[in-house]
Amino acid sequence: MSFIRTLLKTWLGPQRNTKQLSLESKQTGSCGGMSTTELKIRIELILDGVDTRQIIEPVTGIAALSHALQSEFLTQLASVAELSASHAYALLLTYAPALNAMSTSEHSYWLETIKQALSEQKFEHAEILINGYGDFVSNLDKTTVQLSEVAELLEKLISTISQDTLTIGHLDISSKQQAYTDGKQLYLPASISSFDNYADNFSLYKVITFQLLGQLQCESLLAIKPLQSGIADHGNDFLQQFSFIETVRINHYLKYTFPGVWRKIVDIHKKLAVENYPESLFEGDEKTTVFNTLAIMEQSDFASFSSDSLPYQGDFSPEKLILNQVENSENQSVLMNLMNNNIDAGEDALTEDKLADRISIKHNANAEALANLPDKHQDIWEQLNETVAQHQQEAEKRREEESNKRVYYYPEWDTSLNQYRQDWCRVEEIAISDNENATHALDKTDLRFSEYKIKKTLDMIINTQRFIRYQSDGDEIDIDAWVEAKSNKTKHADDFQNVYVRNNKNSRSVAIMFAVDISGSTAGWKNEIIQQSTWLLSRTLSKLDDQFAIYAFSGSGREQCDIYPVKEFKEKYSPTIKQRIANLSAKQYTRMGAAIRHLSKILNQAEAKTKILFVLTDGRPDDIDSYRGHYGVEDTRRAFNEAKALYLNPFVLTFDQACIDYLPHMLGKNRYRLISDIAMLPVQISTIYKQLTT
Amino acid sequence: MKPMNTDNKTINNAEYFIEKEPYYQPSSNEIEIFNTALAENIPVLLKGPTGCGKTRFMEYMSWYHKRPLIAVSCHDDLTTSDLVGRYLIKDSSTVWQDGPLTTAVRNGCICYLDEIVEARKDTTVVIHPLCDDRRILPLEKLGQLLKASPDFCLTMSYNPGYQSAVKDLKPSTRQRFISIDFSYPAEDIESVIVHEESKLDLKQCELLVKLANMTRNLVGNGLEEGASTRLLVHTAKLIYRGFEPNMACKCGIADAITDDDDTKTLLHEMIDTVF
Repeated sequence: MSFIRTLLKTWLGPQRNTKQLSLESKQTGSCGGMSTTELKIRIELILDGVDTRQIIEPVTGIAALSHALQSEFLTQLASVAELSASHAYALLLTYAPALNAMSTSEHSYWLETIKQALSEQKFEHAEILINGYGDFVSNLDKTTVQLSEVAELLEKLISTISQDTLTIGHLDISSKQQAYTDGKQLYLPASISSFDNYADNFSLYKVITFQLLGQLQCESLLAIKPLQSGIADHGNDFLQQFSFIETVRINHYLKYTFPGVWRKIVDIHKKLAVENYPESLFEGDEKTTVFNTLAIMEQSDFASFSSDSLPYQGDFSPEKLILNQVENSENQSVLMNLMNNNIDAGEDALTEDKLADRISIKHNANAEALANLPDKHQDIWEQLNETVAQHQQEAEKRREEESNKRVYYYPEWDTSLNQYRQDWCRVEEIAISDNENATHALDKTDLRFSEYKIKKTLDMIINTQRFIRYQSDGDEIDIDAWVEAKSNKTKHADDFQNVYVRNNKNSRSVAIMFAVDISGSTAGWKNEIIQQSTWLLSRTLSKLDDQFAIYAFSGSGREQCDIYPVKEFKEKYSPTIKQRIANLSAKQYTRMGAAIRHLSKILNQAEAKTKILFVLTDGRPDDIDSYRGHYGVEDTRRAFNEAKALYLNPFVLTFDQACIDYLPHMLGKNRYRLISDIAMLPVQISTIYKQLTT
Repeated sequence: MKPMNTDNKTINNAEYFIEKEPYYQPSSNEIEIFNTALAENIPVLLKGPTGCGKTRFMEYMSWYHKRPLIAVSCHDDLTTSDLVGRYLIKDSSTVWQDGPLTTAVRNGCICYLDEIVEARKDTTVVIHPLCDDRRILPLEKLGQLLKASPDFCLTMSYNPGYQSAVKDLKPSTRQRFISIDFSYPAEDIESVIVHEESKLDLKQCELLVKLANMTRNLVGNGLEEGASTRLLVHTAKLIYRGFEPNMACKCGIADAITDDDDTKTLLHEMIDTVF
């Protein structure tokens, strides 16, 4: 499906606008990384006539990226190729090294700057930018705020205010559009550098965001009809005047609702020398509507505001407001009515085709795609549709078959889209054979020392006194202490203070889930030590009252996230468990997020006061379909956060010496431990267990 | 065993009276419900997030009914003896010392067990015979069954926000109570409460409440619990005493509710938006 859509993206490239790109990227399917062959085919489609033998090295670099980054690369390559094929080829050569040399936000800004230069036909400058990406980074203005840096913060900020989920998208840098909203997404400039310091530029971002939020909360879209007829009668001056006065009205709303934002607006006015701002225009009206704006327009001299524009002003043009209403309305007749009105509304109104396209983008992406396809691709499209239907039928059939298995579906966090991919990972619990097998790894004599150490450590938990005697305060009188004190009265009068016994009832209520990574990288002696540790610990833990379960995880791709139950909570420790542990062997990859979600769910069902999710791993999240790098870390981080929200205590024990690069971010500073000597794992694991549970 | 009556008072009830009317702004019909429960000798369970006014409500009702209030903050180590009583040593002999629950039962007080789910489950079971029509408290160590005074009332509070397998009420306990739900008050009422408690200008209090509601929208997305009314009152007092609102909110709200750097940055941004 992803391949199909990406192909379509490539074919449709020249006909699309930024908004369509954004929508399609969200609908694009798999996160599986593309192979070099697949990439070469796609690049050939974009750069017609390119000699694929000469691009092996850059393509290899691109192949190492995640699917999301590869898709982004193809999109960017296509859009640059539209402007200049030779520059697109140069970009192909430098794309991956540039990505390594800069942060993601800097990279996005670099690309946007290249596109802007090309759109302004500054070809030499664009070439310098492409080839001199190192200089670009070093000369980058650190006062500029990139949207990618602040989008998450702004999104979270508005999520605390708005009932609806609003996301943030960026405008095409070359289009010089004003910020606007479609009711679901706020479209902001890709970067802001209006001021010579970062804080002010960020303030401007914030003000623009709140202006757009204000458009929604102050219901500016109610003015569509009057706006359309005004534009029809007076042209764009009417729109300009409306935009200005409506912005002032939203500012008036912000002044009383979010004084902090208003303070920033005043500051911006001062710094950008905005003169004659009509602050008193709505003074006295506590609750205003868009009709107050229209009334002021009627009363005032029509030309008095027409040339003014505020630096943070959003786009109020009817087609943008209609998008907002399209998102908010489910009533098709209203949409058609709006569309018809729009068509009648003068020279700047959208044509029927364009508006139909816009609506169809929202409601039927397939139809839109079909409408825009060249004739020669119509047949292919139909074939693809059949393939999709076939695929859906197969998936349905497979689900039916799986109803008898222990199969679960979990979402996965796509950090590039900033949203979950629902039911993305198929997790299956696969029983491990408990057939008699060589358990030589668990029968070694040198394990006795480890076993002794573990036992000693855990005995400290087991032997916690239930009654503490000689206390100054307690539940009962300690008769022995009293008698003793009485007999020693002349010597130690103070002994009479310590004659109570405190019932220190062992209130340990612990459930621990051991999640053991058995990916291919643990093959060999690592696997043997993991087996030994797991066995020794489970054997010793069985003497405690603590509930514990052991599950191993590995897999290959999102469709095959395998979980191997070694010991479930309800099971007692037995020789069967030992056999299962002995049969644990290194498997394939580590899709950690899905495993954590599944095991968190199981652990959450255990009844215990303290619930610990103990992950034993040898490296970072990694899977075949580009579940690696930033993507894998972010999904795993999300899964750990979900576990924390369930009041579980995740903890990671790792052998990966490079864990400092990702574990503090993924889990927090104090929630992981690095074992430098894996041979010490059996002892270390029990020490950590004690620390975690006492 | 025949239950003993509680004719002899063991404390001077006046010591436990709340003399000055506590400020309390009702959000709904909680006062009427409580009055009815009191008249019918039905125990009351107050549910709500931390700092929303549960304890203040109890103080108010104690003052309103002129009944002494004995409040116990429950915790992990709270034992049955801590509630019921124990023997103490005095002059080479042992004397019985009533615990707060027994004191309340004997003297017809309102006993308020705050954050009951924090107590161990075996401890909470001791209240069961007090919470049904028997209204008796077994004093095992004395070998007595103590019949509750007609004025005795048992009230407990807990925060459903902490609900987990270990911090939940047993159904057998839960089903002995009338429940009053204390969520955060409506914005206008909460603003008035903050204003009355801190004397800060009402407009500023409204902004504080707006900020609190924004933090409450973050619950489950970086925060375990949003800013409580109590935190707002603390912050309002700081502002009233001359602190800059931004600084007061950072100290009084943001830094108090999270240690996570990312969430703190977001909270600071929210403060900057509102003030």
